[in-house]
Amino acid sequence: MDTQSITISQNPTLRTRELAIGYTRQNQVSVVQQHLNLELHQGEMVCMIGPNGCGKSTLLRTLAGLQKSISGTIFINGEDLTTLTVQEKAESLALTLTDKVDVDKMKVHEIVEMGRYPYTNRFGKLTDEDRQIVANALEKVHLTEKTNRCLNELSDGERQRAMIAKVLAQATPLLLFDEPTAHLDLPNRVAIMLLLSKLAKTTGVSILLSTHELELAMQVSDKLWLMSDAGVDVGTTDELIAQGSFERVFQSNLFSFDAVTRRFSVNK
Amino acid sequence: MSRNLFLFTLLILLCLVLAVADIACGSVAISLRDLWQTFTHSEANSLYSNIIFEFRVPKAMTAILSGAALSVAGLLMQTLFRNPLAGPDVLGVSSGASMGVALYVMAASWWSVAWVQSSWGLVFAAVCGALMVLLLTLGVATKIRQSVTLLIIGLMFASVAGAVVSILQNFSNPDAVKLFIVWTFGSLSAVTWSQMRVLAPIIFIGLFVAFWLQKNLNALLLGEHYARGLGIPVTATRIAIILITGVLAGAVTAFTGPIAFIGVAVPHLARGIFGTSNHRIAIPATILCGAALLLLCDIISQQTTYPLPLNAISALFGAPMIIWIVLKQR
Repeated sequence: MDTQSITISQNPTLRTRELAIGYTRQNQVSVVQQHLNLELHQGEMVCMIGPNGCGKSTLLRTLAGLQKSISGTIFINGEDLTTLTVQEKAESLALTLTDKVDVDKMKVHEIVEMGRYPYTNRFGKLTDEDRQIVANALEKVHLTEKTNRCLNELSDGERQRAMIAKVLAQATPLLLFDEPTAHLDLPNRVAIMLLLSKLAKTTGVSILLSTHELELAMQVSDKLWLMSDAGVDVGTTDELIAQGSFERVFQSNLFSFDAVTRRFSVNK
Repeated sequence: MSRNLFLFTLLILLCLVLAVADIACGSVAISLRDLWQTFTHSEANSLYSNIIFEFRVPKAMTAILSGAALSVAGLLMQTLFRNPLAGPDVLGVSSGASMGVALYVMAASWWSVAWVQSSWGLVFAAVCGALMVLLLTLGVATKIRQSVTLLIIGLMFASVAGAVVSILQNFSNPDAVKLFIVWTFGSLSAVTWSQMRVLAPIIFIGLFVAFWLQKNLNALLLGEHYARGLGIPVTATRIAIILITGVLAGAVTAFTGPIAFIGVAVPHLARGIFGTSNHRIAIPATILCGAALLLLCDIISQQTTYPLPLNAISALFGAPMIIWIVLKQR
């Protein structure tokens, strides 16, 4: 048992070493977060939470290789992200962003099939295996009936599920989601979070997502990355409550955190 | 899929019918029987055979090639800018090509007239002009996302190009000015067989590259970040799109003069008919619709005693289409 846990921790899906993230504009470096030493293991779902502006999206974009880090290294399955080719990156990680996808006249299955692009030829020709993977991905997000509908005819929740199916079709060990529950109603928010949690458990993929759904994240995630200006607190919900991290990060006169009920209540 | 196959068959047949009609129509109307006889026994009637093979056939081929090239250029630009109003004439690419031609025709008149005869030089000048405007527009488009603003900037580029042309005319000799003004009327009949040997391969290469890029183009529909996430080399793809758009729109404009509205309107027509933005379908659909529409414009323009300017006919089709797109966007 002990040796097994060591081998897993030696080879996390995602690991950062002394990572600093932020922006460089006109030679002015503004660091958002630094000294990040984070790990994400196989089959784990981690929710990233924290106030606006603490760098959740920046971290996700940096981890996805869409934005340069300021210093430090990102390892994906033990390999330095900067040494991976565009193709290798596409085979190692898939992501959804908060960028609005506004495509006119594209069917759901055509969008999901794009997830197979890293594996298809120049003309995007799908094999029977590719089609099977696409069908499976659509089934996992319960969109099989809507496969021939146009993307912009779907509701927001269905559209988000279609984008998740695209990510699943890409069949990568690491999945990143930037606010997958934004703009959704409560049933859809819960459904998406449970869906992602189940995917991590059943398929063994590693999932990292950012969200503002604090109480939902506390219940469904394996671990939380609680981000604030002071840095990132990592731990299970229980550990972070015990450390008093929630009170510290979401410090406010307007509401308070109750460690027993695990809820925030408004101070009237 | 069978529906698409049916539509493609229908469009190909339509193009063939329109091509035959285009060859038959003109200042000398040729009956279908005479047309058939001229094609089967080329010595039967030397007058008809001369008209048909020296004028009508190259003109119909030019219509097909130009319609296809301008429309695909429009489709590529709409995907590149993620803007339904983008098109070679709307964003001033045709004006850029005109400026290139003006510089070439009039500036060349200061050195030697023999230069002007070279089709390759003309094409090169037009493509350079088109690429210059494309790069400028792309630079602006990265800063401004709104469709209508981009449209206005395209108009401004067109105005600047027009001003440069006017100034050039002032300094040029009358022969060169005349040569240029005749060119600006826009005509499909100006392309000779020797020029066709330049035009056709350039357009075939451009269309082939568009087919070659279909996967990258589809990924770009989702936006830059998603395309990168799918392993698409976004920067290289953008450069390739700009190059072939410039080559397609520039080469056509060099030979036929500026033809308005085809480039922006046809991609919408094609996507509407086939009900998809997937470039696997949209590229061939745009090629066929573009060829058919320009053939139709040419046939209509031949119905009067003196041929109507092609630009006037294409504007009648295209301008309402642009208004409809703007209204649909709210």
